[in-house]
Amino acid sequence: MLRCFADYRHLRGESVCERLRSSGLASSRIWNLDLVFIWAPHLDLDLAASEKSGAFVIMGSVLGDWPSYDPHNFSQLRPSDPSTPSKMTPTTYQPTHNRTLPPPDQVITTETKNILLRHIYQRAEEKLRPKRAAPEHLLPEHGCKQLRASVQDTPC
Amino acid sequence: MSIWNYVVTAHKPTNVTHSCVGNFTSSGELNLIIAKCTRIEIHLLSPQGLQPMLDVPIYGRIATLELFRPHGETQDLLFIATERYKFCVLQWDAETSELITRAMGDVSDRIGRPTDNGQIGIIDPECRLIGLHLYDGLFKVIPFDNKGQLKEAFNIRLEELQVLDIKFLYGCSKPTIVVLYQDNKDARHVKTYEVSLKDKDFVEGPWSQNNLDNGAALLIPVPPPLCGVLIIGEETIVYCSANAFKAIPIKPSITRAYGRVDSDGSRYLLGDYNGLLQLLVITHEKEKVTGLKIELLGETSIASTISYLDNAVVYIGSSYGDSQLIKLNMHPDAKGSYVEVLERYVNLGPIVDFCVVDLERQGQGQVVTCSGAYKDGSLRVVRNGIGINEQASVELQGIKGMWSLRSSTEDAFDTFLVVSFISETRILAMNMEDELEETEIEGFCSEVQTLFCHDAVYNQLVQVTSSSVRLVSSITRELRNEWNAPAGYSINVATANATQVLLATGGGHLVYLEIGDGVLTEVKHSQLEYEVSCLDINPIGENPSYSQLAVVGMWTDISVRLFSLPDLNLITKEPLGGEIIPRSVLLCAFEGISYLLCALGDGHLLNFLLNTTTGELTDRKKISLGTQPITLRTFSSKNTTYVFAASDRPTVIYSSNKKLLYSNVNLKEVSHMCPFNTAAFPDSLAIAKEGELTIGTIDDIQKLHIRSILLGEQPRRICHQEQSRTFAICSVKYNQSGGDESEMHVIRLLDDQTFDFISTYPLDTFEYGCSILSCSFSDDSSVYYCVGTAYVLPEESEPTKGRILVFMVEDGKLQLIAEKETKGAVYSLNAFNGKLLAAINQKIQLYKWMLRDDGSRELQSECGHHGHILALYVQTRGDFIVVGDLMKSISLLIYKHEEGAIEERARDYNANWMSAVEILDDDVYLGAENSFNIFTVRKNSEGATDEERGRLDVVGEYHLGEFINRFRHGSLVMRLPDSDVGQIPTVIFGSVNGVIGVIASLPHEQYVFLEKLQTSLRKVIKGVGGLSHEHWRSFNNEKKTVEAKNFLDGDLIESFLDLNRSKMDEIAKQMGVSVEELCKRVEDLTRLH
Repeated sequence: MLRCFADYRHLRGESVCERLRSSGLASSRIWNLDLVFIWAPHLDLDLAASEKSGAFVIMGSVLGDWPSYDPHNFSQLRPSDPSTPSKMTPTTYQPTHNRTLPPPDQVITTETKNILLRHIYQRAEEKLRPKRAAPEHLLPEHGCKQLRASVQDTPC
Repeated sequence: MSIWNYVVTAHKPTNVTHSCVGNFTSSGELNLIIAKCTRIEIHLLSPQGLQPMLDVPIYGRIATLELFRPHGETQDLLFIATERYKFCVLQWDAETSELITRAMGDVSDRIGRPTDNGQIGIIDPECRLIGLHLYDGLFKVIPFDNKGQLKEAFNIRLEELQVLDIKFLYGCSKPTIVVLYQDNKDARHVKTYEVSLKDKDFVEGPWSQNNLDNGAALLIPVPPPLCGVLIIGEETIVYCSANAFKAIPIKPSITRAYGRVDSDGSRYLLGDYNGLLQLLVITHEKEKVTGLKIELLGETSIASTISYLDNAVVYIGSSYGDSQLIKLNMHPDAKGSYVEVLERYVNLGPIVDFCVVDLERQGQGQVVTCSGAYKDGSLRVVRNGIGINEQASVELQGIKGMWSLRSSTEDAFDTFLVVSFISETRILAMNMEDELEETEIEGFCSEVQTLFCHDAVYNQLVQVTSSSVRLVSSITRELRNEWNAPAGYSINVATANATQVLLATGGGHLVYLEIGDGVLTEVKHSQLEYEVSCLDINPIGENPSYSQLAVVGMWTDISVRLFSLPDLNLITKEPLGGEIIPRSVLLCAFEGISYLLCALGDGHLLNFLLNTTTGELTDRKKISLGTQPITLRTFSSKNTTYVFAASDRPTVIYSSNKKLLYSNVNLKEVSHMCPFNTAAFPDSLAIAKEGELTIGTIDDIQKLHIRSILLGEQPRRICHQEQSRTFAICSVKYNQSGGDESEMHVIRLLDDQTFDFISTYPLDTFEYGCSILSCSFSDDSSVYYCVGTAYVLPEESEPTKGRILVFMVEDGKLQLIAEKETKGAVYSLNAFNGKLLAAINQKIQLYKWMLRDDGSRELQSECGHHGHILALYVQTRGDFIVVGDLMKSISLLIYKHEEGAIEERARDYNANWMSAVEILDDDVYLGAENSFNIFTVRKNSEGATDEERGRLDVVGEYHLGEFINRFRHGSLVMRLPDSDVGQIPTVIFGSVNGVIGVIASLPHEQYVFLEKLQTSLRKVIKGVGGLSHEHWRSFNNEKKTVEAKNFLDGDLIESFLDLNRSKMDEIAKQMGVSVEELCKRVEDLTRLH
């Protein structure tokens, strides 16, 4: 005797509403005809154009085979009545734990050195490098290797 | 004084700005994460659809939201950057269901010009670095180390100053960005750079492409194996990589959002500014791009973000309309659309204007907003009330009464639903399939109307008809005993509980019966001097099945009387006054307090405190619920007792903190209601309304309900006229015919109940409706709609011409009565001392309403005041005028009657760019500005010098994080004069994100108390991502950042109620009050919205 309410409304839907809903236009039971007049030609126009270019043949191939992560997802979802918006009210999160603060070394700041100064220093280093080549060799070997290794830490 | 303010959200933001999909809550679960400006929502994809998990407030306006997975992680991390240059990396801890902060930081620079085109935040697909473009000419890099930890950030000089988009390219051995930019000749190009982390600099990239589409604004990086980038223009789409270039022309459109479909990057969904959804396909052979194809799929809301979810289901997030869940079908429907809308999620944003009206005239404000933009424009009626979630419904005409019955006394659930009609009674029951079907109770008389039914002790049921009282076994369903009315008398009204029956026959005979095992005993009879109109014996004493009191409503002397049971002795007689008879009486108890409720035939409800031992009635209160007779019934939901008042304005009466509260139910008219608690529909109500029987559950109390009126055009201004019961709106309609786009501005008149357009007045070409007002003038009793307009000519930087149009509503039509040309845009109109005050460009102008010799009317300029950049927002109080300027904050003007002049009295010398103003009281004015702050200024009448008196002192400052378009005085909740919160003045605001909020001016003592509470709460409720509440609420614009003062964050304060007991105790201890006291004080505040 009593049907599921969604089905009940669904059956009651009028054809104009149905059509508009499927075009994504409708979401209310209140209609004015202007809406239909403005928007219908627009849609038709585009479709007519794509039809000419043989789009419908292509459509079949490009519209299929939608990616699926879990085939069950949305499998039980039925379209809801467009006039009743979905009620999604997740609970509001109020963190009271202590892990809202990251580990101390993960509080990031920007290097304070000015870009220009950094450039000047870098260039200066580059200029100095050949001159420093000799003293560098005097440093213990592993020190040099370590330095390189740390640079390579960051894959670039 | 209104300087101590409390800001609270009544409706959270609904504008969806970002969305992304990934394995956030677990490596096996797919999540949709949505950003709504200052909040994120985490959803889980499930077979049933999107399952909401969490709503997370973020202490910042979200500029970037990205999921990413560093090497070695099994689930995705969430990167959030805020507009105030904070960022955080969040991780879901499934064990504790908490969000933990992996990293956070400040990415602001001391010097730098913030980008015009918004902040860009991107993450390298190989997780080598995070790139941020926050200031012109700078690209900030936050490198990852090989363990996925973030390192110190650094800036790189970016030569391109006008950057439109930046993305990381896939498949590059070194992190490579592609930059879409505009040169100083307005031509657009793309360029690539490799980021050298070692040198902290850019290295010229593998390719570049010059002279692209002039409307190119969006880059889509293509993943391997194809790699490269798609450049989306307004007329072309280009695929570019180091070794390929493909382009296709498209129908002119502006693409707003894209969503990648396939992981190999061969298909993309594109959403444009008209809400058209297209599929872009990269055709390829042997990993080489051979071409591009674009196909129109259909229409959705105008998308701001698109996320492909799973199995052809797509989430469309919208800023301008409702967000949607859509399905992409293989085959087109009758309209040729491949898009099927599965779900719709309400979005009020952008609220550009709203008005507060009391459409039902019951003392409760409803907000009617101008929401949405372009084709998704709508009006939304927002009101506080209780929703009924309809579970099942069937058409049934002429219901005269309903009762639910159990099949045995011990049964926890109801089985039968007795539905009475004028000449028959039908019995419905739940069958094995949980469906309602018609059944029979043989002992009941079903050929006549039933007056009352009830479960009785000893597995019995009671039915009262006009001739008899029948006692029936609920097991065998057979008649066990019957009490017949004396010959010549028929029973008019009856009531019963588990052990007692009270009925009244014609002639004022009151009969009291008691129910035994198979016996009905007439215990007492009494004759009253008048007819009985209603009665009740709901047990509210210690015994839940026996009442010691009976209440009877009387015809003729219009009184209610209390009798003792079983002896029917009169205890109290309470004359009700007036001429309206009581139609329904009810004894009820809430929170241990007994009440007598008495509903009258005209929709009024009286309530009394009832002393159950003496029968004394005190504390009489009268409230109007509707206009039709009310029927009262109790029901319980979630272990709390409520009273349902069925009428033309159905209302739920409940109690909180020992106070009776009334809340609307979002149903139009309910004639009868009874609780129907079945196994299939637990805690449900059966409701008879408009020829329909509905079974539904009741929502949470105090929730906003939203009715959407989609217009297909964009409303910009709204105003209500009580006298004509209409709304008038300024609206703009966007037409697209044959590739030509035009907009037409109109004034529309709408019925305030049906919201149908009843009249339209088109404005001239280039003429915009800027302001609208309903007012009357001195010496004229008529009520008018005044509309201010502007001629917005393409060649003018500011309008130099406008009009003020004065309309009257005649026969449901807008009749133009007068018009006046102005020398600029009429940004604001106010009724002012029986005259019309207009803000026209730099000037405030006052017009008189003059009667011409021929009897017609005209607006005549009286005086004005110059000296604003643009006077955009005006509010008045008495002779005072408060002006919100485009960039010169708030100024206070005064109208001098004798001199007929308007003069400046004082101003705020800060350079705030205003977006709304309101007057809180004589001395304190509220302003909102375009860096998302609100502030209050105070008139300094007692200043010693002219200079001091001429300055408006800033007394309150607060970062709201919302762009407010309108303030209005009013309240969303019914303001009962007897309640404490009823005394607190409130202002409602509406914002671009669809937020409706309330600013309440508190007494100083309460403010100080709550400020202390806020400080304590900051220590207990932490900011997600380690973001600081104090910093978030500090007033901040280009010029200054100062700590918030004289505003409190109601959202934080009210979240106290959601804390667990130990945290509550902790805070109560710090506050030096009991938890109960603290809860009560905070709960009181929640009643402001």
